[in-house]
Amino acid sequence: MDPLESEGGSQKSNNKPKYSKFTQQELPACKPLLTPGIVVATFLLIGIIFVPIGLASLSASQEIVELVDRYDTNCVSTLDKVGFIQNTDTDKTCTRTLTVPKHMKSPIQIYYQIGDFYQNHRRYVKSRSDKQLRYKNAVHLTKDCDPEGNTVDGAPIIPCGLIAWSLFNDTYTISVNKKAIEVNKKDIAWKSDKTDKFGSDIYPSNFQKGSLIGGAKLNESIPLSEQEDLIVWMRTAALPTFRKLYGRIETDIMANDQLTVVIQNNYNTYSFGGSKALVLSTTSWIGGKNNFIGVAYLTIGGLCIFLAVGFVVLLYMVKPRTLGDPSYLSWNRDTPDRPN
Amino acid sequence: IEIEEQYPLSPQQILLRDSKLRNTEYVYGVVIFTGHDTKVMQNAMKAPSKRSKIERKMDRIIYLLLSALVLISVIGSVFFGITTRDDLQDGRPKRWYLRPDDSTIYFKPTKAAISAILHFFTAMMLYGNFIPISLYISIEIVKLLQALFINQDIHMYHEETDTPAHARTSNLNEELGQVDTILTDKTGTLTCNSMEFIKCSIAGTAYGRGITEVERAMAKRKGSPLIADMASNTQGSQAAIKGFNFTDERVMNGNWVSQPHSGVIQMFLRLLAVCHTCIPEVDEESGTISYEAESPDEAAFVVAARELGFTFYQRTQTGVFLHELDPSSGKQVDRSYKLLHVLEFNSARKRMSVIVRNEEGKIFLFSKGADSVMFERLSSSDCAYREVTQDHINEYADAGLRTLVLAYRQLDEAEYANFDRKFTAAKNSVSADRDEMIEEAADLLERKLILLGATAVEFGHALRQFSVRSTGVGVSARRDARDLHLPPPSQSHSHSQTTST
Repeated sequence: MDPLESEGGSQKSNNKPKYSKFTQQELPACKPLLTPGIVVATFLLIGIIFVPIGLASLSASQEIVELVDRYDTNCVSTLDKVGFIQNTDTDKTCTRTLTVPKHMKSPIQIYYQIGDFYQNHRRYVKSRSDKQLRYKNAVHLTKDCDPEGNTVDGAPIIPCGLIAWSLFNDTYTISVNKKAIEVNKKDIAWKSDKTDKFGSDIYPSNFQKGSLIGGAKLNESIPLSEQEDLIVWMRTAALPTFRKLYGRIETDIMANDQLTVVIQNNYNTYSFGGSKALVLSTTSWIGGKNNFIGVAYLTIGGLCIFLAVGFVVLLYMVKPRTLGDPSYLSWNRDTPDRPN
Repeated sequence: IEIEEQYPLSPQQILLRDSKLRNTEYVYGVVIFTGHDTKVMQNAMKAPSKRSKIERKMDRIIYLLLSALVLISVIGSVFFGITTRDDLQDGRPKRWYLRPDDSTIYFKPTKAAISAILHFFTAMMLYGNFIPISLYISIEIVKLLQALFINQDIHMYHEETDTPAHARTSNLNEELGQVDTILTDKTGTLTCNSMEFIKCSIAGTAYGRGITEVERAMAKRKGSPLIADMASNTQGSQAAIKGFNFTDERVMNGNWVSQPHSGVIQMFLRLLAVCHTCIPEVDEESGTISYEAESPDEAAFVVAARELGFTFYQRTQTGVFLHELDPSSGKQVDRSYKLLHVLEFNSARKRMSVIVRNEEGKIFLFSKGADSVMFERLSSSDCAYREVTQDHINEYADAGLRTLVLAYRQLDEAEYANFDRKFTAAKNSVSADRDEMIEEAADLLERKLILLGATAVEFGHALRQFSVRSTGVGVSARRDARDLHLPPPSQSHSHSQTTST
């Protein structure tokens, strides 16, 4: 070897980049190849999984027995419904009779359903003070609760805010075949709400003492953590039509039984054109009566099976061709401007 | 009466914008043709913004989302205003649970328009998550990492110049690979501005044992491994000199002194060392000389002369200086030549000449040019090795080399004085036929030349680096006047079969 050449080589600084799999982007990688077989198998797999789930969900939903009775229109016979409901002297008792079509297995949930009530309105949903509901030394934090934060003489309202002020105040008494049935109103609120969001040492104070009364009054000897009607109502609904749990019936109701419901129709839904209904429903592993999950799974599963069959028909019957056929490459195709 | 000396004013003396003036002590300056109406000023324009397609597409997406956000907020505010106004009808609240009778400006039914406007801004803030403003930051980070990968790419490293890839800005990373056409002036570009002196013919004898790329390709096609092996052995034995790929023991290391035509060889090498317009640059530390030339083949000639014993080391306004190998004493002696005139090369003449006076007072005309114009100017009395030289030139052209013919002539004082008067008058003329007068005066002298030989220069190997077929990039090159025996640039060397006209 030429000594001058080697000397020159050693003197020169080498700027060549170092080799490694990472810097040269040669790390092993998974590159899935979507062959027709893989695509058809995937679609079939999804279909086979989804269709049974959909059928099971739909079947469970169909087993639910649900009674819905809208009563707000029939319980008020006068033309001036708003005046009727706002008059404290009128008798608002209403009796409804229902026939049970199928056997209802206990426990039976009792809901009240309100339509066109916007609990998600920004002013309404912000009108509450979570600190006041939780801590005894925060009773004065009523700024967010306007206009139902303080009484006219400045004393704080507990619980404050529009949500609590507009607490639902209809009541239901249910008899089966002329025999009174006990409605269990315990444990209708979330356990986490009762233990974490509402204080056990806070009692209602100055509630519904103003000139306008929006809803139910509260027993001031019961702490907020045990006022389950209030707790259920203050978990605001996201949509204008919603149901909230009222109570439970712990005994079975047989088919063809006669239900008699005595309703105290106190709540005003007539001003804004809303609706009220009583709902009795059984439950299953899927929850209440809801066909959406079942229909969704069946739709997707059916679509996947349809696509799988379509691909099979298209690739192996209508227009078969080999995977990776080089005759489809642009330079192998016969075009008018480039005859082969 | 003493006449003041006049100097010609020609494009040679014009210093263009951004040019540099060197090796000059003082100048008389004339400022001509400046201002905003000049072509160079009118061509100056603002540099376009470097924004890639991804960024422009991202801008359009952001504008679309912003429009959707404004539209949603406007529609929502309108409906909000309508329902807020309806909440209070004739003093009676409709949605009583909202207490519209006791309300702030945000929800006041009696001023629903103001509430709607305020709700518009509330909605804009609440739905602001529509705009993926962090998308720009994410894309910028991705491009930065991509630039790091580009800098580390071994395939982008150039071995000869020891230059790695360097992404100076990451704005246009994904625009790599968008080139589909390269438009280039052929001169120097496709040949990498690299010429190598490889063969020559002197006094009818061919010198130089190098193998050209074209010859190697043809030998490979014919299946002759002997030539390829010999070439590889020869090339590995000596250190590479830029522009010099000549191997022949008969003339190297001063051995030309003992050749039969040593006088012709001496004149040949002297012509190579004198007949050019190169500027030498001497490295102060190592003492090596490098040359700056108008064209790379001129530099190759001067390098060849240096390697064979005629070192050109200095140039002044009036003379050139060499270290010459003296055949009688075998030593390096200093010679200077007074440079009287330079007849430049151009596409019409296809030749270049210099008129010099050596130290003994003799006047010589040295000339080099294309064989088509040089052979017709040779002296008719000298026919000894004319045909042999022509054959050598044809062989060199077949091998893909570029050839020049070298010839000289000695002048007497009377002839030179006559030429000098006419040439100077033509140069100082400012009439329209100035170029024709110069040509006519030069033509008087470039006659009855004595043939010395021919040179052969190989182009650099830049064509190989393009890989035109694999990239799909089209190359379009313009030929110029120096393409005497150049193969078509878009074809590979193995297909070039050029014969002299």
